[in-house]
Amino acid sequence: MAAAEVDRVTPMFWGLFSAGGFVVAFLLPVFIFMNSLAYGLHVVPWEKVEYGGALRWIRGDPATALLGNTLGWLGGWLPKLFLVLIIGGGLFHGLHRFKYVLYDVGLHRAKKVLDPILYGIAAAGTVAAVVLAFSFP
Amino acid sequence: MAVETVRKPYVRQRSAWWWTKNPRYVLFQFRELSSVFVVLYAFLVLWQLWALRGGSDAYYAFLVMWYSRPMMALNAVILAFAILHSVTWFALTAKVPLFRIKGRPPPAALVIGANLAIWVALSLLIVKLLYGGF
Amino acid sequence: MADRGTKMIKLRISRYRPERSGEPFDQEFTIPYRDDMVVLDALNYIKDHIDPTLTYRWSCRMGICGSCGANVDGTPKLTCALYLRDLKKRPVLIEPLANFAVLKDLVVDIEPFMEKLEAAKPYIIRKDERPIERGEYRQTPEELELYRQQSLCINCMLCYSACPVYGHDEKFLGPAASALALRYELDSRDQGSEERLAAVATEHGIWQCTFVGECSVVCPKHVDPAGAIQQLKALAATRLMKAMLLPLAPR
Repeated sequence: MAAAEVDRVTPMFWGLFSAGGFVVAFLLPVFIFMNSLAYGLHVVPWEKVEYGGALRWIRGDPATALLGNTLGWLGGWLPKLFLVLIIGGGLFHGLHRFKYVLYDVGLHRAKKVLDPILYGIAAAGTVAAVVLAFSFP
Repeated sequence: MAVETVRKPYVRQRSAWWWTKNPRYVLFQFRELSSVFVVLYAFLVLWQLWALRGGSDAYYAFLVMWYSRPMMALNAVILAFAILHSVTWFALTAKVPLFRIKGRPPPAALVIGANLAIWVALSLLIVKLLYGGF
Repeated sequence: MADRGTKMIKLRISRYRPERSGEPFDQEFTIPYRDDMVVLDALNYIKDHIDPTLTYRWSCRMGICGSCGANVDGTPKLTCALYLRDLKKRPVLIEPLANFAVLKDLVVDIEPFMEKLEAAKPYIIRKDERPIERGEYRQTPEELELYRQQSLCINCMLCYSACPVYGHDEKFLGPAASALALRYELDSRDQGSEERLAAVATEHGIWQCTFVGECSVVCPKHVDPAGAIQQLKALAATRLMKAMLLPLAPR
């Protein structure tokens, strides 16, 4: 086999894929349940999901109350950080894996096109998540 | 190669349905497919944040859509794929020993069990810490 | 041929006779069968008693030479280690290993596999080669234990037949060659890590692997190539990170 060039790009995105894989595995199911299904299944009341409730959530009121005086300042950061982790981790994890799904259906010669598109979307989505999440008080 | 050959190697074409022939391949395809749903959910949450930025009316319109039957069904499917990802991910990470016990990689059952325990504990912690319980 | 009352078994074997036909075809054989017969025994019976042109590889009959692999009922198996009594389907379907070009009947072209093994630099690389008078490079049993699992490979190629990634990318380095690379990476006597990782961490190297895991399922020697590739990925990724974060550190 002819000596091929060392791939210096993929390992970085593989690292993000792996880190994102852990974030998604540990955090996403509970978030989907609480954010999408809990109200429909009558597990949480309307006050928690309507506009005011959502604003209180992203402001970190429950965490601030729970953490008390010494760590309360963390409360406001936690929901925003959580959202950025889920969205950024999910995008870098999911789009890397999706690239290999595309390879399998016959696009494995399109690496040079797929890489910038898919990782570009992941990066843009992560930036959007940071900007949006931290635009709330 | 200079050797003259009478060989006529026959290259077989793989069927597009190769993965249906083995249940482990089917599980693999579903595991990989979970990525589509994870990405989809990330975009849905971005949309949700955008609606929340839009103020009370915009967010109310979003919630009407969010808790409609088709959307609840879609979100249930996304949750199913997310759980599939979690379980398969824990099984996969057991194959990459991050540490060794007495020179040996930890047994897979231990790694998977520890991951599952952390998963449950973290989920409960998030419900308590971010949502103030149910 | 067989007495009345002898149990019979039907096998469907994929044949390819390049001098006669352009395409492979299936041929059925019904042969007398005993409970202690393995698939290779059935093939030998056919060759000895029915059709001497049936072509397949075999040598040791005891699961160590690695030459008798075939896809039996769709799964890559060593035919010498697979009892007919354990197969549920009739007729038993025997095909050449998947993902390789067929040369004749059950014989596949192993040349691409040999090239991949070579590409993984499967030998001890030294920076400081010692003169022979100074003796061998010593190793403790514990150091041997670190790579023993990956060193058990018998090059039977069942893992390549099971690998869907190799199925769509014939340039993919693949399971056995990667496991062999890790075997030398983990060898305390080796000093060629940088060179070897560079050879396998290429576009068609370890990064093509999507961790299907079927290679480790079919491996008759429990080498676990799937786990080996992920360990190589982790090694290559951490080395790259270190190189980027600490540009002045020795690599």
